[in-house]
Amino acid sequence: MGTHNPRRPRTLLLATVCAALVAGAIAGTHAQSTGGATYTAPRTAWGVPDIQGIWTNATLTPIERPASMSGQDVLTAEEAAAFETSSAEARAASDTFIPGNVGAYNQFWMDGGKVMTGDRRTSLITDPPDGRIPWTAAGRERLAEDSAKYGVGPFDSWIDADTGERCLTDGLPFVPLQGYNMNYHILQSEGWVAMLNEMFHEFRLIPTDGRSHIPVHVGQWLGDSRGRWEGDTLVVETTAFADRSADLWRATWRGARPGLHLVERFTRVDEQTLDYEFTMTDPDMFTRPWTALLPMTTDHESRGVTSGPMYEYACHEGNYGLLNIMRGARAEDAQ
Amino acid sequence: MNARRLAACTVPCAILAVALLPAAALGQSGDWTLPRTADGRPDLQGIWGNNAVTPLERPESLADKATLTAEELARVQSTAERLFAQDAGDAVFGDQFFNVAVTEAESFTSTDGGTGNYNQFWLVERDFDNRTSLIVDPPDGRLPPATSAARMAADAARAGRGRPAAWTVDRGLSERCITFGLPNLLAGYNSYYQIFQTADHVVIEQELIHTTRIIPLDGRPHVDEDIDQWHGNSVGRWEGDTLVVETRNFSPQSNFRGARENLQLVERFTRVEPDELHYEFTVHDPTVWTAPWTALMQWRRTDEPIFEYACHEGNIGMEGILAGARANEARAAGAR
Repeated sequence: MGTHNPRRPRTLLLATVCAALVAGAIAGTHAQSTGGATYTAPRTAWGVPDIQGIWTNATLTPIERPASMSGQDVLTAEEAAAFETSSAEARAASDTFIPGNVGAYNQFWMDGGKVMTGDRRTSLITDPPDGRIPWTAAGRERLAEDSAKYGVGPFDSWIDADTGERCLTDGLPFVPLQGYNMNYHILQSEGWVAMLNEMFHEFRLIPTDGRSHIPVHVGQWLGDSRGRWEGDTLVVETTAFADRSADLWRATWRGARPGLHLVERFTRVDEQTLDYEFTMTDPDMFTRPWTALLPMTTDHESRGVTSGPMYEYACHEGNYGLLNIMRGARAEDAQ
Repeated sequence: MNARRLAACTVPCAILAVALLPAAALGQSGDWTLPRTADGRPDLQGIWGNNAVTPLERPESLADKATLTAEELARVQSTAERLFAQDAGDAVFGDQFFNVAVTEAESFTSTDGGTGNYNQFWLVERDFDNRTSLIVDPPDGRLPPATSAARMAADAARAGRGRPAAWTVDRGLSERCITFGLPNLLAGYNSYYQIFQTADHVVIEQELIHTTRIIPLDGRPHVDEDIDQWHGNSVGRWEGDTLVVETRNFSPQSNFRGARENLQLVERFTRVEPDELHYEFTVHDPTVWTAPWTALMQWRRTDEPIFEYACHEGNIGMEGILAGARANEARAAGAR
């Protein structure tokens, strides 16, 4: 198996490459993305910061700090350059055909970030300071269960596949885990912010007019988002996530469940940079709230990813992977 | 309000209005000023519903009647109430609602042959107005003649319908949760649209399959003709107080009543009243129809929110269809 998810090997690859890096204890700070302190974002006609554009959050920096980087939250410029080079080599090497392996997408289809965040952090997570998700025992258990199923099965029905493979969603927040289509088109109108995530053409229309949340029992895959401006920062709070804990999620921590509370902060810190910070709170899954910071950019080339307009998203159209997975599982049943 | 106003309008009045006057003039009340955005454009923002009973094509029994009189309309409405309130069958979708009610039938049961379909619980209450077709051009309210190629393609599609499905791709695009197509005619079932405007874009979010179109208004050209998409490629502009959106580059797999990659679509959005938006579209595809044709829908504003769209989640119909087809195959193999 493995055809159905081209993305997982990439995550593992990243950890491996990271582990191969020379470790050195260097004290680091969680600097915000560069941007002059004097920068003031342009304003919309009604006076709020203008954060419109097609942004990407593609980056080589992993969400969690790899174990091998424990204690080192920032790389030196040389280390970061070495990591970027070895990642490029690993990408090239991954296109080698391995007999007997049905394979996954090759690099032609991938469009992942080619560089680390400008501040060379070893994790996107900024809090807790160890750069790791603070799982509860129950959360860790669920993570282990999901990992054991991943690429293994059972595959009795397409609902055994993860929510992303089923073309539903990989969940919130915006994180560049899948290695392609990591683009977000943000538009603003008075009292509203619209966000189209290229992946799954996931569309969020977020009121910023102070209206209350929908009742929690309504429950939606992407929850219910309400925005407000705190100074020059757009703060979006999301609650009323549906209970989708029975489904398999590509990243366990992103699974929709009623206990989840998400806060996202969007701050335009220079012409081409939108700092995106999110805080996840869920006492069932995490021992404490945790926060990550990802700078988004409109300068796609600087991240080594495709630029240009966003086209219609096609999810598995003309892709018979799921059919073949089911067929393979039935053939195994018959044996 | 809308039904009353239109019902009061006589037949010649309606024909004249549609044929001669710009859409903005239709029904604009005197003491209402079109709201405008910060940059001075008409403010079309809000959630609009398309729940009218008016069918796409005028029923043949109403050949020369573009509008119903108030009495005729009341009769259709009461027939609908009588028939569909008693109907213990399946939901009445789309044009069937008007087309059955207008016959003043004694009784009616909507059933989907064997296994049944949604019941009326899943549909919203429909809006009545006095028009007898959405089509305003040709003036007879009927589709122009289809080309012979289109007729043959339609026959072939009809013959293939009901064929056992080998896999999901043998079912229609909406069942596969891909799209209801563009333009979407379905009224009365998740038929809401949220319009959102910026200075240089308009966003139209359709409740069905959360199809979202982000349409540039900055004068850019269409994308290269090699790039085809389910919903084509749209660019918009303002013509007076009407938003005009032109779409081409449909995919060969797109399917609007048989029109595919050759479809050229022009949509016009005009807010004519605080709570009414005219959605007029013209389709042009000489490979399918011998002439372009135009339809006008009256969308009504609602203050209710659109919630997240769930397409067949928890609905194992597709699994049932495929399992049924496999069972039939096994039975046929056993009989041989």
